Amino acid sequence: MSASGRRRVVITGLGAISCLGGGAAAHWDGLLAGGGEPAEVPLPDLNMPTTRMYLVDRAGVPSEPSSHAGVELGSSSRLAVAAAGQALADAGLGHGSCAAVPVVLGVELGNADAQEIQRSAGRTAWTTLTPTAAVVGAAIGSRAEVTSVGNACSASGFALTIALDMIRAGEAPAVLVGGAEGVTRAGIGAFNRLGAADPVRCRPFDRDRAGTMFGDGSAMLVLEAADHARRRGARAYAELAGAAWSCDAHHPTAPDPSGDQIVRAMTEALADAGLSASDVRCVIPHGTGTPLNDVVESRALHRMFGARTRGLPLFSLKAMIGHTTGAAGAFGCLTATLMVHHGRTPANVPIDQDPECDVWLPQDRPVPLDAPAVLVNTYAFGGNNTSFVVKPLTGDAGGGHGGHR
Amino acid sequence: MGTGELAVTGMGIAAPGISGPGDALAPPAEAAPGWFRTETALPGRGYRRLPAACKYLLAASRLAVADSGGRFAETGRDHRAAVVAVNHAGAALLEELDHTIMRRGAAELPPSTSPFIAMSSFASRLSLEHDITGFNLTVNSPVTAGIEAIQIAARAVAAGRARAVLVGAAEETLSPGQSAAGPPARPSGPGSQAGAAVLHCEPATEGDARYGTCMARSAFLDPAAAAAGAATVLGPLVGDDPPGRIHAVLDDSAVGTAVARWLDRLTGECDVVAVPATPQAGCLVPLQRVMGLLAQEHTAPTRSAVLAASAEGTIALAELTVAPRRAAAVPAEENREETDVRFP
Repeated sequence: MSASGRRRVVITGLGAISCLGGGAAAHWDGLLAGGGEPAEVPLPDLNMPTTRMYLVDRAGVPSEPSSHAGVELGSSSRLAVAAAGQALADAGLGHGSCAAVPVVLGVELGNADAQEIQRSAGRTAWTTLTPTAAVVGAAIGSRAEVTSVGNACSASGFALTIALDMIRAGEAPAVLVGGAEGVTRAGIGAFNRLGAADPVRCRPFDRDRAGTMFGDGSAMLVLEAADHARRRGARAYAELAGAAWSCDAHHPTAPDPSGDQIVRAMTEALADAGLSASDVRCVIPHGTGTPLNDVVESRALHRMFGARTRGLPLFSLKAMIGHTTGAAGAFGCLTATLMVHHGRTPANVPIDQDPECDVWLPQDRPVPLDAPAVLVNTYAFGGNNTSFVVKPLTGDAGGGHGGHR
Repeated sequence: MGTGELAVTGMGIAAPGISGPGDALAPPAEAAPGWFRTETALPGRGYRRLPAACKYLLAASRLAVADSGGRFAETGRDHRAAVVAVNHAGAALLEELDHTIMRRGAAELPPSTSPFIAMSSFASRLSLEHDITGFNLTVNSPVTAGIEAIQIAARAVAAGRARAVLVGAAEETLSPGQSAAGPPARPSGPGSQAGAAVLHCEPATEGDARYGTCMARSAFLDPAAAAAGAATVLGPLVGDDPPGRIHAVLDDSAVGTAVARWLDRLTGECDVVAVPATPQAGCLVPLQRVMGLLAQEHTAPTRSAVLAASAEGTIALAELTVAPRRAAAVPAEENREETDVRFP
């Protein structure tokens, strides 16, 4: 229990598959090596100027499961199952021990690639766009709650908070949570049309940024009540200490220039974690590369951290793996966890920084983090915001072993 | 399983052949052309180009907010929230957008509807309409998302993330190509449903529970082992003290069949009302059932439930305690409800 009497929630399992490869270790090594490079999207009929994403090596996309309850599955469900298996194995939860483990996933255009390939082939029957959470539930043998959250680019940020609340409320001692997205012609096409698709790469905070560039993949985490993890001797990487939600109520796609609601989400996430702004040692921003988003978020960070902002390292994750949309929050949480675990933040991708984005993106070398708390932001169309805090294990949140190193 | 109970203090619905919550137990009707008139349901500017399901959701929300007697507006904007379920609300539009890309290129996409590739855009419009800054959440599990929306709203309220929540579901009819090539519809109704239903919910401890209270739980039944696993999953979900009547929204899938057979064992304990669905029915039907039950007239608190299951394996149960009340101006529509059909 925390000082407030709430159950503390720790992260005991990590799984990832992205353009950086498969597994949390490959993810961390890939970040230290400078991230991935965009490639041509393997879909037919891509009639648009920008047709690249940060892609999982196609040889690394599992071939199974190929269907679920009669629904032909695209890549996102298969990536999700692979990442889920990694996270559960990492947490020491083998198949057969997951019947009571709920699944909470952020999934937006989950099965789009399967449907788009079918459409190009003239097949039109509708099947669900969002089977992924159920596919994962079946794959791990869960009989518990299976939730699919569709909040676009902040979907898995919301999923993480739902999982946190489930554990705090005593509904489950452990939850598998994450996000997964495949490739999508409609998604890239819409961003092309809206002028939000960068033809070069994902360049958050760069003066020449021209929109975002998507990435596919899946990130999964096992969240667990600290006392439950300790009793079974599980290693805990870090604590998911707090989270908050807000909504701009401003515009269908653009962020509110005032940044009021994203400041509120950051403020309330820190309060939920029992921390203050001075405790934050690194921020993983939403930072998509869309011109207005990066300026608004930079200004909001100044409102949060004041004069300290210019000395507060930001880690621009999307510059390395692209914008993984529904999975972005889960990748952010996974990356923050690895930062806390390894005690440093990787160097950012070199950029020509926009002076309007007056934030610190250390690019020369990794930055050590002393007793760090990492704040992660995820935002989406409609101004749907989440912020959450990952921090080192302290006191009774400590797991069997592990922690900061 | 689930956390918290919500008081339902307002309800609104926009669906073909439905005049209000008192009609909500009627079988789904075909969405005949012109059944929804934007200028009547949503007078004012800025609605005409919105996708149909977004309009239905806005219309149903207006009715629910009005029905709550101003309680939503009285709640601080940072404590107002929405949890909305969608399955195929944007499916026909997404197909249309993708066809445009395939045939004419992305440059020809209409900018007004392109953002609706993100299914959360349907619910996000609610935040603009009602100045909702607490949070706005979209859930999309097949069939069960509407009931899961109750569960998630209750959990978020219990965690202090909101004090008044619009809990809704919205769908739009599939395109002819999408539905014609799908599984055959039951003779009793369309394969896919159009419309929206919205409940105005507050903490059960604070609200006056004008219509009653609701709480929801959910579980997962692997379709590949549905028959063998049904008892293990459904026993804890339904519990030892089932309500007097359960409305079961089930299709002919392996999961639906297994659930129906398990429900047969409740004979004598409670009435099971079969609500036949197709795999393309979407997530509106179960929430509409919740609304219909809450709108019924009773002289004493009455327990009932809605159980829904998807072919993909998600199962959700909404447990209701309907408040004693007279359904003023709305006759109890038991006669329009399907008869108490036992599953074969």
